[in-house]
Formats: sequence, structure tokens, C-alpha cells
Amino acid sequence: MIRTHGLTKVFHSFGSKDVVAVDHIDFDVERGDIFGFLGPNGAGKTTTIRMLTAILSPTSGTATVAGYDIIKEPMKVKQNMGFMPETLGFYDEMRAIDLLEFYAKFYKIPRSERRKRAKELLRLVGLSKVAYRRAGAYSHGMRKRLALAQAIINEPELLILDEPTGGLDPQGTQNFREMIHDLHKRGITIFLSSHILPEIQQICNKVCILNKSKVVVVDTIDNLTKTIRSKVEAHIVIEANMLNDEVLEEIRKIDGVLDVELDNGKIDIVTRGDMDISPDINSLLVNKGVRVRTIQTQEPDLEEIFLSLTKGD
Amino acid sequence: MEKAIDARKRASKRTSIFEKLKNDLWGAMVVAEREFYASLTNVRMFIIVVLFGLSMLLYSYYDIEYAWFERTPEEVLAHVAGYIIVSIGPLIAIILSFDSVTKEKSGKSLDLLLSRPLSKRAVAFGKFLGVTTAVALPIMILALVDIFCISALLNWQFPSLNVFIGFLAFTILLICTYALLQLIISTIAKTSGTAILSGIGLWLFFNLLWLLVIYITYIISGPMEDIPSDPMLAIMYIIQSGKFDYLMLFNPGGFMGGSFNLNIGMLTGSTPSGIPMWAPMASIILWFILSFIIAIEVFNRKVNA
Repeated sequence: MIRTHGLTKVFHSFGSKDVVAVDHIDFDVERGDIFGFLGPNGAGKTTTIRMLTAILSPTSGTATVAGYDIIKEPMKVKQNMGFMPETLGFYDEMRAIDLLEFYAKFYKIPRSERRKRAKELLRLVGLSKVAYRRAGAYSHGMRKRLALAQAIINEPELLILDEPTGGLDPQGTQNFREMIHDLHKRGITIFLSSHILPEIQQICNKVCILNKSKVVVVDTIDNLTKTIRSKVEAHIVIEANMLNDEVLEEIRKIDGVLDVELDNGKIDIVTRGDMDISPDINSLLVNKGVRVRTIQTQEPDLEEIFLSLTKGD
Repeated sequence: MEKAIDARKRASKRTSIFEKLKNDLWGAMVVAEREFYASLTNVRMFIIVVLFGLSMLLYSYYDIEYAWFERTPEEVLAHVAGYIIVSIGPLIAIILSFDSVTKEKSGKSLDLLLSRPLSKRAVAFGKFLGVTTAVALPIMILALVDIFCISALLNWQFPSLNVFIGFLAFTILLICTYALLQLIISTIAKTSGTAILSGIGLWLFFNLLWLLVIYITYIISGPMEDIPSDPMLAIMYIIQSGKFDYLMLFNPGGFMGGSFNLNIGMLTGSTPSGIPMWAPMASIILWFILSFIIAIEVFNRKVNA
């Protein structure tokens, strides 16, 4: 659905040094993916998105979006994708329903169909009751929903979302994630840019991590977790009765255990990230007659992966 | 066989260019429609148009009633063009279009617009079309009302057809040219404040400082004649001498203002000596075409670059 090859953007400014915003990035997004585009602020995410949406021309390299070249066929690219930018600039004097109709006109959607579709989309994003209110009177959360509605006015096969949940409260964020899942179920491929790690981990099946204008890694979340496990530590926290030094010593002898600490009736066992030794620990505790109340396994999450991949930068 | 393939390729390329143009034209019309309604329903449009209409009507009345000798409708229209249209018309175009791009930039609405299937050039063209139509429409209506009132005051003498058409056509061209110049400024400017200040600066340059350009040209062009020592009187003397009428060709409003010789000459079909009839027309058409090309290209290169 999206394929980039050596995509680069350099901003030239008179009298100052050139800024390389995006540096030879390569990644593929397959049809049906929910693809996370992750990176700290200033990594080049928005510039990449502007190139993918054919708003900005690349300095070098190529990309195809929905099967069309962003340089040679920008109109086809725009016709086949929907875009929700990070900053929501609407014509505030226009009513939400009129705004959607206005955007629909660009796709030559017939007049009779435009209003019907606008109403349907406002219902989908939960704005039917305020459809005739001016966009300028909308709250931030409502504007986000309106932005999502305008992005799918042309029934795109690819949806590009730039920081879609930024500035939303937890409930709004949850609702938004559900809407994204619903759209994915309808067959829309999602490209989601975010700097919020748990969001990417929860929603996406594949991720591209960008740092300092370059791609650090592109892989599925599962593969990334597996790869990184060998490099980071996992923790198993056990709450149990009848713990003693002998038990702790036995645990230390298990292959893969790096450290064991006892604190207020809880054992914190540090293990190698790539070895699952919780069954071994569990059977040892049962054999020793220890009554286990809880066992918690803390595996490395995307945040640790991200920090590991970008450490030192 | 190869020739047939080449012909098919050329035909396909032509179709694709035609499709692109059709698409861009459609997009430009959508943008223009929104710009038109947004400008037309703007409060500042209402205030400016009322003030402009009053100025035109009052000036026409003054020019007829307080003239030393009886005026013809052509002369009154030439004076209205030279004093009111050429000075207030551009100002209206500037005031109503100064933020056509800066507002989009500050409101962050450009990304949403540019992600639609139309080129940047089409967006620029749509903006120009929408704003100028919104400005030109009330001005045209007021101009027609003014012509009607002038005729009524002159015992129902109507201006000749060429003056009537020339007056309306040149008024539209002048407004369009200034709207384009303001579009260039609005695209380059970072804020709406800078855009309006630069626009007014441009207006001041062509409407007031241009006299200085004429004065300097006079000084550097040869030996000084016996002209009044007062600089303002000297400038008036130089302008009325008609020797520097050709300089007005380099001013977007010059063909209908600043020099009565050129102005009345254009509308009545006799340009001042040394200036061919086609020159003033070529001047405004070139001003319009050059401003149009520059405005579209500046928008295409500058926006989101």
C-alpha cells in the first residue's frame, strides 16, 4: 500500500545550513496493516507524511502510495487516500456538515450523495447532534472527530493519521482508538504516526521507528519484542508465604536468572528477556511448599524497545 | 508497429494532461466558490463597498455640478477612473485579499486543502478567482449605478459604447492585477499584519511615490527647464507637461490614472503624442499577465516548500 525507497527531504534556507528532515528512508506498508510510525518529536514523521500525501515533493528518492507514484501521479495518490493532519485547521466560519460537503466536492461526489455521506460520517464519529454547528465552536475532541470524518469522505483505501489522539483525554483517546479499529475492520489500511508508545503498541501490528531523520527499525511488534528480549531484562514479581533463604538460593540456580531480591514478602526476580523461566520457578516453589499468592511477569514493552534502539542518541 | 505504440503513448499522455487540467479546473472552481462566499459575506467587504460606492457617486456629482464648463459623460467617467477607481479600487482589492494565504497559513488549513486532488497552482488560481469575483462584482454593480446617475445628471446623455466597455473592462483588470499582487505578498508574508502593511506600501508606492519616480526621471533625463521651485508644484508642472506620460505605462494603474492625458486619451481614443494607442492597453494586459504568472508560481514554490 505504501512503499518508500530512499525517500529524502532536505530543506534549503538562504543564509543558513541545509536541514535534512528525512534521510533515505525505506519501508513497506502492506494492505490491511495498521502501521505505526513512531519517533520522537522532530524525527521527521510529519515531513514524511507530507511527502506521502503528495503535499510536499521529496528532494530525492521515491514512494508509491496506493500503487501510485507520489511524484508522477500525485492526484491519483490524493484520490485514493485520506489524511488527518496533526494540526486541525478548518474554515471555522463553516458548519461541520458544510465543511464535509466542501471537501467532498473535490472528489466529484454527486451533489445528492454529498450531503448523505456527510451526515453518515458525522453519525459515525458521533457528531450528528452538532452537525449544523460552526466548526469554530467545536471542542478539541470534536475537531479531532471532524478531522477523521473529512479524512474518509472519499472512501479511501488508505488512511494516514498524524498524531490522531494528541491532546485528547483518556476517554476521548479510547473512543478514537475504537473508531480506528472500526475503520480497519472495514478494510482500510491505517498508517498512524505517533510519539505515544503505548498507543502504537495497542493499535498497530507493524511499526517503523524513526530517529534523527532515519529509520531505525521496521518490523512487527511481536518480532521487535522477541528481538529485543535478548538484549533487555525481564522481571518476575512473586508474592508468597513461607519464603526463606533456601528458596531464594534455589531460584538463583535456575538457568536464566540474573538476580533475586526479597522485599516485604515479594521476590523480584530479574531474568534474561529471551528466556521464559516462569514455569520453572513456579514448579520449584510448589515443590518447596511455598504458597504463591500472585505472580506477575513484566516483559519488555515498546517503550523499552524504543529506548534501547535509540539509546545514546 | 513502433510508430503505433508511440502514437498510443502520445495519445495517452495527451489524455492524462487533459484529465489533469480538467481535475485542476474543477478543484480551482471549488476553492473559488468558497473564497467567493467567504469574501462576499465578510463584514469588511460591506463597509468598504458602501464607502467606495458613496465616494464614486459623490465625486461624479461634484465633477458635474461644480465644473467650469459642461462635462460629457466620457469626461466624467475618465475623472472617476482617474481619481476614484485608480486610487480606491486597488485599496479594496488589497484590503479584501490581504489574508487569502496568510489566514490559511496561520489557521493551518492549507494542509487539508493541499491533500485534496488538485495542484497548488489550482489552489492559487481558485483563490484569485474567488477573491476577484467577490471584489469585482459589487464594484461593477456600483460602477453601473454610477454611470446611470452620471447620465441622469447630464440630461440622459449616455457614454459611448467603447468608453462604457473600456471603463468596466479596465476597472476589472486593475482590480484583478492588484488582487494578484496582493496574493503574491500574502504567499510570501509570514503574518496577515505583514501582508496588509506590504500591500498598503505597494499601493502608496504606485499612487503617491510614483510622482517621485516621475520627478527623479525628469531630473536625471536632461537639463532642467524653468520649473517652479516648490517640489509639489514642480511635480504637477512636469505631469501636466505630458512629457513623462510614458512612465505611467510602468504603473499598474497608470493607464487610467495619474496622467489625465493618458487617461482621457485612452477612453476617448486619442493617446498623447509619442504614445501609440496599443501601449496603454498592452501595459495593463502585461501587468495582469505577469502578476498572474508570478502569483501562481510563487504560490506553487513557496507554500509548504
